Amino acid sequence: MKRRYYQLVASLPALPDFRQTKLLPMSRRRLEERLSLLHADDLDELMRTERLVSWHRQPVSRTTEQIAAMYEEVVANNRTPELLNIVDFRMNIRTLMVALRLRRQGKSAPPGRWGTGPYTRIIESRWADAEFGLSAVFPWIPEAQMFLDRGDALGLETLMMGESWKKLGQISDAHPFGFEQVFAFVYKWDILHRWLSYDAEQARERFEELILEVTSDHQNLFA
Amino acid sequence: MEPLVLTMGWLGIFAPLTLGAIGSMIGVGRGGQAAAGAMLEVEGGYGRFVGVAAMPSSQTIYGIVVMLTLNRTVTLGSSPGLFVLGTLTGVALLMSAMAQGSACAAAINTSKSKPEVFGISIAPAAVIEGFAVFVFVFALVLAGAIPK
Repeated sequence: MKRRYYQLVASLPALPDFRQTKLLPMSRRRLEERLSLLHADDLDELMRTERLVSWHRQPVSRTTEQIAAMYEEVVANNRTPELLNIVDFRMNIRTLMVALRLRRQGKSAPPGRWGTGPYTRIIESRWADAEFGLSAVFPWIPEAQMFLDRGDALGLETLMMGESWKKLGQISDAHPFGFEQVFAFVYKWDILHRWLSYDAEQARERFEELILEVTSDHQNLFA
Repeated sequence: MEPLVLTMGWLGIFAPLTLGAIGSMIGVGRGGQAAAGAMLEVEGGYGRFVGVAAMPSSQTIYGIVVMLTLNRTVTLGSSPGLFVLGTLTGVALLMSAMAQGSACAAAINTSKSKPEVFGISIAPAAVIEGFAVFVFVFALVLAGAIPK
């Protein structure tokens, strides 16, 4: 029987759109206190999945193989199909961003593993296509390409966050009081936290990082 | 065969109360959990959350009234009618209480962040109550046609 988290969901604050708020409505500590209401299995799955999809900067030293191994671990232990849907959505974004950066630098798809998810082979086979033949699935590709061409790293980050935010909203609405809604909240909180951490000082450092990402030639999924 | 038919008659008499009460337990449980969660987030107005959470209690009351109306000497003539009317009424009350509990939980979750929509947010739960009332009223009407 599917678990429902009436108390937990009702104890979480409404999250405002990340582009229109200046305050984080809940601290991480308070969030973790509330998450203790989750069943142990669900809490494990949430933590494992969050480590993979979290918007927080992943260590640059982490290789594509390591990321792929983490992805496979999440897939192997997954008990919630909708969660896998979120993971795939995030990994597809990362894979597409790697492909767009490589192509912008005039490179072709590298040999060996360079992305994850079902679209990797399609992207390789349609490399010359402006949208990799995936415009119906990922209608934001032209906009992302435009931000890359302009070197507008912040615009690109906002677009990616916005697409994830929209997807999480849909999943949350489709599973009222379910584990999926809890996960969607945690992931949206992560995006909001990331967004609000761009204060003056941090924003400058982060902006430099983003510029580096847009212009660099490294290929890691988390780059 | 005769004992089975008579057993079904007794089942029909008690089903509205039993199933209605089970539904109320589940429904109030859902609403109550949401109310408890919302209380962690708001500074006041706890009473209205508890009030909304208690809405699915009414199905038990409807069940009691239908049970008392159906209660009569169980015979081979009255058993089929008692079974059909009683069990179907019970199932309807069970389902409505569960659905109402979910609607109440959603109303509590919404109104904790946006108190101004409190009234309108409980409208779906009130509509579900209306369907339970339909079943209740027409069960009473049809009960008169079952042989005494």
